[in-house]
Amino acid sequence: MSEPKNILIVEDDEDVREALAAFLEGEGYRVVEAEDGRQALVCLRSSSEFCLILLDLFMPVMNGWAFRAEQLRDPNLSTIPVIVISADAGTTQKATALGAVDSMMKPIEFDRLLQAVTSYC
Amino acid sequence: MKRPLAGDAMKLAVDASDIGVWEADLLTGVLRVSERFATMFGLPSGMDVASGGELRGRVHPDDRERVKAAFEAALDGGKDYSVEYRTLDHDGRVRWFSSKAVVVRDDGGRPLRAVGTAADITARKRAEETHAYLAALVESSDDAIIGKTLDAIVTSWNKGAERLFGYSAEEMIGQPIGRIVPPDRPDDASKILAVIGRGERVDHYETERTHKDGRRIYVSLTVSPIKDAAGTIVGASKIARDVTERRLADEERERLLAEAREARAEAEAASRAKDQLLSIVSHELRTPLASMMGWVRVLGQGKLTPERTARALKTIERSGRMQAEMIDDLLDVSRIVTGRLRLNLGQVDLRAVAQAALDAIRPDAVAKGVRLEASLDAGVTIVVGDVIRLEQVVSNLLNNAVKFTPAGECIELRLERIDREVRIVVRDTGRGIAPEFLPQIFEPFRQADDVKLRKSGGLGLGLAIVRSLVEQHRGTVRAESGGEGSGSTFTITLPLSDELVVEPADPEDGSPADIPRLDGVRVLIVDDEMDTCEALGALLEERGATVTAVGSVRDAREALDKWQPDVLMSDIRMPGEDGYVLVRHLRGTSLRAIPAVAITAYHHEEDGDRTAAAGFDACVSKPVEPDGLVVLLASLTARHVAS
Repeated sequence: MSEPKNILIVEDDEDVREALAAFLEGEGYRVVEAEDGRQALVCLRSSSEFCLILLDLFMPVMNGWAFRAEQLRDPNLSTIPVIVISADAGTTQKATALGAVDSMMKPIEFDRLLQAVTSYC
Repeated sequence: MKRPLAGDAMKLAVDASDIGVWEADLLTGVLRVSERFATMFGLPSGMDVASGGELRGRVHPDDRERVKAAFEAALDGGKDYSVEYRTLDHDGRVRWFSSKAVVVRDDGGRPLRAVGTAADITARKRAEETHAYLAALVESSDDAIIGKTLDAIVTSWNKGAERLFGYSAEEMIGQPIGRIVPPDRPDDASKILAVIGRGERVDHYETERTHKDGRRIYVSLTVSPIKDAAGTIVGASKIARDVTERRLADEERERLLAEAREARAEAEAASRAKDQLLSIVSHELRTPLASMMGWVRVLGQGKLTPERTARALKTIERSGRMQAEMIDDLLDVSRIVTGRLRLNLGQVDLRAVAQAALDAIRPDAVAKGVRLEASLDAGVTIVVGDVIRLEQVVSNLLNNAVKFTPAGECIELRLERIDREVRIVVRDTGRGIAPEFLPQIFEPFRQADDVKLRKSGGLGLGLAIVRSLVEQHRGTVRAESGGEGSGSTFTITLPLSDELVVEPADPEDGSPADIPRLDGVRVLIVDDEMDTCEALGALLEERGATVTAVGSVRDAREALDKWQPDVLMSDIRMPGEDGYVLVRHLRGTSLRAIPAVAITAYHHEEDGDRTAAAGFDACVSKPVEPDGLVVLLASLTARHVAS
C-alpha cells in the first residue's frame, strides 16, 4: 500500500484553517497548513507529495491568484488539483477562471468537501 | 451766342424721341399732336388735329378730374402744367403718362395756346409699384432684413431689424454693423463678408448678436451678395431670424439630458458601491460563520482532546461575537447615515470609560502579546456624553491598535486635560498608516488593504463610527502617523462638562435592586414563537406579573373579549394577521387605552416610527433585554393606572 498523500490547506484565517484541518484529520487524512500562497509554495516544494490543495483567494503576502500562477508555472506542482474555498460571492466564476477542479463557498458544506476529497485522495 | 434750333431740326428730334408733343389753340379749341403722340394715345394715324374732348376721353375716369383741375390751374394761375395720369384703352389696358405743358399768353396775360409733351411712364410706374411692394414686404417681415456695404456699413434696416436688435433705422443706417456684434465674436462679421466678397451665400449661420439693451440674442443668418447692374458685388443683404427661444430650448434640453446622464451615472455608481458593499459584508459575515460551522462539525466528529474541545468552543464563541459586533457596526453606520443615532446624554467620567475599554481589550492584547500602557490620571475628566457610546469609541480605537500592532510591541492609552478640553490619546507602535490613506481613514468601508490582500478583515467601519460618535459629542478626532511601519496616534478631543455635579446618566439604568416589581400587572403576550412566549412569560412572572400568552392575533382577540390585561405585548411579524392588525383592532375597542408594546425581530430604527404610527406605545427588539423590559412595562402600566 502506498504512502497516504497530504492535503494542503492554504487559508489566512486561523480559525477557519484549523477547523478545516481538524475536520479532515478527524476523517483520517494527513493535512499540511499554510497561511498564504508563499508558505504554500514552500510546503509543496519541500515535503512529500500532495493529492489536493484547498485554496483561499483573499490572503496577504501572496493571494490565491498569484499562488495559482506560480503553481501552474512549476511542472512538478501544476498537476495537483485545486479546490477554491472562499467567502466571496463570485467564488464559482473565480474558481473556473483559475482552472480549479471545484469550488466551495464559505461556510463550507462538509459532506460535499468530504466527497471531493475522497475522489482526489 | 445761342441760336434756336431750326424748325425742321426740332421736328426731327421730336420724332426721334419717345415723347409725344401737342399744341392746343385755346381760342379755337384746335389740338395738334405729333405722330408719336397720336400713336401713344391710339388716335388715327396721320391725323394731326384732334378734339380735346376725344383726348380727355382716353384718360382713366378716376384721373380725369385731377388732370382737368391741373390744366385749369395752369391756365388760371400761370403755373406750369405737370401731371401724371393713367389712360384706359379700349382693350382695358391701363398705361401711365407724364404730361407737361406751358401756356402762352398775350400781353394782357390772356392764355392763347398751350404746348405740351406726354411720355409713357408705364414701365417706370410698374417698377415703382414692384419696388413699393417689395419694400412693404421687407418692412412687414418678422425677420430682420439688413443691407450693408462690403465695408460693413448698414445701408438698410427694416422694422424687423428694429424689433430684433432694438436700434431704429435712423440709428443704424450709415453705422458699422459691428455695433450689434458681441465683443467676443470680433471676426464674425468679417468672416461673413469675406464669403460674400467671393460671391457666395451664407445660409442659416447661427450666431449671437447683442441687442441695444445689452441682451445676448441668438440669430440664424442668411446673407447674400448684392450686385450692381454691372454684376459687381457692392454689399450684402442679411436676413436675421431670432432663434433665441429655440436655442434656449435646445440648451435647456441639453442641460436636462446632461443632468439625466449625470443622475444615471450617479445611480450606477451608487449601485456599484452597494454591490461592492454587499459583497464585502457578505464576505466578512461568512468568514466567522465558516469557522463556527467548521468547529461545530469537528466537535460532532467527537475526536478532539478535551483541551482542543475547549479551544474549539472558545473559537466558536469568539467567531459568534465577532459576527455580532460586525452586525452592530453595520446597524450603527445605518443609524449614522440616516441621522437616527441618538445619544443618551449624562455626566460621564472619561477615566471610567477609558478603564472599562482597557479592561475589555486586555484579553485580546494578552493573547496577541501586545503590551498595554495606560496613564489615566489627568484630574477632572468629566464630559457630557453617552457613556456606552464613548466606551465604544475608545474600544474601537484600542481594537484597531491591537489588530495592527505586532506581538512584542506596545499600545498606550492616555488621558490629558488641556484647559476646558479632555483628550483621549491612543498611540501604538504598529504598522502605521500610509500618508496617502490618512485622509480617507475615517470614511466607512475603507481599509488600507487592497481587496485581494485583505490582511485585517472586518468591515472597515470602526473609525467611521468613531468619528460620527465623537462629532455628535461636539468633539474632534485626529489621526497621525509617521507613515508605514512607524505607528499611529489617534487623538480625541471632547469639551469638558460645565457642570461638575454628577448625576446618573439614566435613572432607569441602575443596579438590579432598582428593577421594579410588576406585582399584579396583567400582561397579554402575543407571539407565534412559543419559545419567546415562554421566555417572556417566565421573566415577567418572576417579577410578579400575571401572564397570558397566545400564539396568534385571532387567539388574542378571543382573550381580549373575556379578559382585560393591563398591558399588551405583541410580536409584529406573524403568519396571517400581524401585530399591526391587532393593535389597530385594540385601538378600535373599549380597551383602546391599554398600553401596547411591539416586539420586533429586526433591529430597524424604522420599526420604532412605524409601530408608533400604528398605535404601539413602545417597541422592543429581540432578543429582549430583561431589565429594560421590566422597567418599560412598569412605567407604561404606572402611567396607565395614573391616567
